[in-house]
Amino acid sequence: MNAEFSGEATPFKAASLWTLAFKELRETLRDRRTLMTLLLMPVLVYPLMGLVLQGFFLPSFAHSEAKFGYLVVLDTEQDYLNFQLSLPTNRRYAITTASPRLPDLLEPNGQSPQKSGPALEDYEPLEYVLLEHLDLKNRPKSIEDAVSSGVADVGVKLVQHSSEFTEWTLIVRDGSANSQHAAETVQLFLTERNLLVAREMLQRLRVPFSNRVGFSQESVASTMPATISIVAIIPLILTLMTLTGAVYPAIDLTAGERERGTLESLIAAPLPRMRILAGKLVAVIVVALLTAFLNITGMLTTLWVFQMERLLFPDGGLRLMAFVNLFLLLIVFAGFFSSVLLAVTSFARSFKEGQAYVIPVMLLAIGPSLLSLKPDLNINGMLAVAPLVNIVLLAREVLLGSATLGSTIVVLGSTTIYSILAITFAARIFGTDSVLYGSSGSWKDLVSLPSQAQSVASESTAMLCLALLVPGTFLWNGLIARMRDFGVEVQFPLIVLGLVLIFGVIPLAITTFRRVRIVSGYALYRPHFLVLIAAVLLGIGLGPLLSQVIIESLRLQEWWFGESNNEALVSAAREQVAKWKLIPAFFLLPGLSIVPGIVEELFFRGCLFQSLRQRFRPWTVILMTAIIFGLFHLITAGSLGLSRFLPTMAMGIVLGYVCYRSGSVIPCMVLHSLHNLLTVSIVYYREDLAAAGWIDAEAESIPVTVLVCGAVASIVGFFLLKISRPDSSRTIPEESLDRP
Amino acid sequence: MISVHELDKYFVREGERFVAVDKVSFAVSPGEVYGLLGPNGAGKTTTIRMILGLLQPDHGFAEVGGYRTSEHPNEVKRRVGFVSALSGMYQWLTGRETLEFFCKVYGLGLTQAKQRIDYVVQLLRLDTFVDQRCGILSTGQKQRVNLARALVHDPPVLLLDEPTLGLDVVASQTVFKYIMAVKQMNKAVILCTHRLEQAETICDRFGLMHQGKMAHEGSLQELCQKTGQRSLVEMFLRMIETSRTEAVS
Repeated sequence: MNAEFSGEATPFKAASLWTLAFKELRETLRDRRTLMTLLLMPVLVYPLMGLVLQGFFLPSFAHSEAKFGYLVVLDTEQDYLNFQLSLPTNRRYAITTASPRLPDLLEPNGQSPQKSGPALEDYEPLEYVLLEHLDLKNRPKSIEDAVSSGVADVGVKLVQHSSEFTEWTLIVRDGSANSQHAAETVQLFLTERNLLVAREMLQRLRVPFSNRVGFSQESVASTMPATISIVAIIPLILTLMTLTGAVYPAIDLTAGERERGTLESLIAAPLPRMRILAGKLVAVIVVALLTAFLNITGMLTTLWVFQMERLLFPDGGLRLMAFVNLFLLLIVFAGFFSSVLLAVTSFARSFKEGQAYVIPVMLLAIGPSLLSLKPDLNINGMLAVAPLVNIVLLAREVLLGSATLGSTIVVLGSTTIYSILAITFAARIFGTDSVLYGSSGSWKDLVSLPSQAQSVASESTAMLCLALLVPGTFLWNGLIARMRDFGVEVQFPLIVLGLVLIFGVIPLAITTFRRVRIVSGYALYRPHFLVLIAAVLLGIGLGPLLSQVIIESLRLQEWWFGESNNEALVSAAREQVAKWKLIPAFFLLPGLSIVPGIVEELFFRGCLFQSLRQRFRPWTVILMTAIIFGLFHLITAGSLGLSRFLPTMAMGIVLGYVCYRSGSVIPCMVLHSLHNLLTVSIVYYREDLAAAGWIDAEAESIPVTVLVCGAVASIVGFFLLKISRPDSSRTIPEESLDRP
Repeated sequence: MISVHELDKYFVREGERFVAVDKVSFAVSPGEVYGLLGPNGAGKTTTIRMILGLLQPDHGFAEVGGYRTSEHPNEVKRRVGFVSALSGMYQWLTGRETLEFFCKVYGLGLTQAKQRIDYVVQLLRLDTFVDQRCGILSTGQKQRVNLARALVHDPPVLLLDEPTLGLDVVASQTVFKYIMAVKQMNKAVILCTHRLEQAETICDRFGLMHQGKMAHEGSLQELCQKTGQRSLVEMFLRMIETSRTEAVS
């Protein structure tokens, strides 16, 4: 036997992160599929797109607002020379002999500029060109054609010319503000030329001349609704590019590794799982960065080659600082997406399964990335810590030069935390029993009937229910929104019906079809009376505490970011409550509190919780269901109900704990319904309660006495839960769980 | 070197409990080749995975070199070379690069790694293809690189789970010669295989598993005496026949 292994434990240095990352990179970058993703877009697609853009679209917008200046077209060589003489001689113009291309520049008196001459911005926004010099495939036949087709902004035609007087006709495109502005600019210059001549004549006659009117210009900040800048699209481009680069290596290094059979050898080696995942993360980030970098380089090179960079960067073209900013932002995007994708693909047992998991992530990522197009959306409050939304908004503000240090720190800090959480989660899942040795399911598993009755829903059944709940809720909410003309009398019963159908009927139908026993599958056991008392106490006590938490977090965000839309939220809520008051309290209160309390618990702590308990430890399941519960309320609350996420998730943790301790979903239903009932009742009867002196309608905090009572009730509730023994006969024994 | 104490493992599938390994115990000494045999689904692979710590036992424990898998997983993993029928190769790395990577993973220094790689290349005659990309190697060549990978850090224990699966006669012979060679190196080897004739010649002792339980254990001679059969094949057939009869009755 090897002497090294014969004695006590010897110091052992596990392979470094670099060793693991280097192996992953070497393998990934040699794979021709990676190379295709890496090189295809920048080398082939962008130049082709450039050609198409130039060939088909450029003539129509090459001389639009984004070009150097207004383009004036002239018919003959003589007109061209006379026009040059008609312009003020003290200004710099751009002339061109082959449009479209960057214009040649002209100094006053027709001189060419020095090499280190003035910047392009110092030239007048006027460029003039001879019709026959227009370097276009389908050159217009006349200057009228050039103007009407949009190739030129204004045509200038000589009417008469003598040593004393030259007269021009300006040809303008009908209905075009741009063409009209171009003509006005030409008129301004021609008028100025007349003025210069007049001044020279007066000087020659020795008549003193001074301006009677002067003016200067000052800038003020715009309070008009902001318009969309081209920069707002860049976060979406960054998202797409980093996602494109990260998707393939993320799947390949997790699900692909399992499929090829190399995962087992790696897990059998003395390596911390976190380090394995960190090595993979480095590799995925590097590939994502390379892909994005090559894409951006390819895109910018194409723009430069085809002289289109001013379309994207109208203010003086691409500068080094913008490129550096872009690259730094790429690192943030690549880090975020790589960790999220690794977390998602760590679940997958095959490449195909990995692809199936990644597609929804990609689709979900596009939504928040489009938020940068909303000009009035700024990094503040929950948005600064909302995953992806925060980095999208930061990217826009960095590129616009309006990012602040405080918001940058919050965004980068929270994004780093999300990435670490994602990788920690991936490390827990990656290489576990179920991923290493579990078999991949198929659609057949979902539709085939089990041979015998099931005590709880399988994961695939629970996930199918969850997958149907989200679009079901969206569709139903859409239907309710379309019914607004019919008033709350129609909307309210529809809301209640939707809750029952979506959270009750759909899961029950699916689980019944899959032969899941209703009582065990939904934990519909009779609870211990102590647990019921605890649920009642928590249902009463948690309301004020959670409300105060929300108030404090809104205050904190107002203090930190200096602005808030709290008042708007409050007034919108009050408006909604006023409408709801048309429904009698006898129907409204149970409909908005008890019904959701029962049916939501039936699914989240019933079907989903019991299903996940087959594989995971109690606290993992409590957290997972709480996050799903929070996310569900987040995405279905319309207009991103970010403020609902944290309190809903906190409530989900309490409900999960109650379910775990009692082994029954009924106390959760009691707690949830009671909490809803109290909250809705206070809002509904707010004015009456204030009139009776029970509450202060204008108070900005929950009264201390109420908070203390809530805290005491909650503490007693938790204590009762703690002393109540979980009923082991209702749960799968700990030691038999096939869990990570 | 290896000791297994009342290992239990059950899985939950579709809400139902399924016993994979039921109170299995055995021990393997240095220089001994232990044939862990049984029909498909007997629980051999699950047992091996629990010894290495790839699966957590529900009851019982396994020890390698005095280290309990559940308490010192990395100490156990350091001491084990593992090859399974599922072991794949890094398609875009060469055999040498794969070996170099695993040398680093197992903490070998540069000089030591070079010596070990040269040694396993010579032992398994990999020299003609060790610098080729693994993706283009034949099944037999890949398995030889895999065996080299398991041995490159010179572990005192080898766990070989059906290392000849899918190999032709010649490639299988190479694997069995390899096992004989590592036996000479005084390593403890657990071998799971369905090639019972070869197992009879190279294994010192056997554990016959069936339906998660250790049905019989001992040397070939002891097993023949216990079961009244003349070969492992006969013992297998008899064991399966008996369980079928019991199930029907």
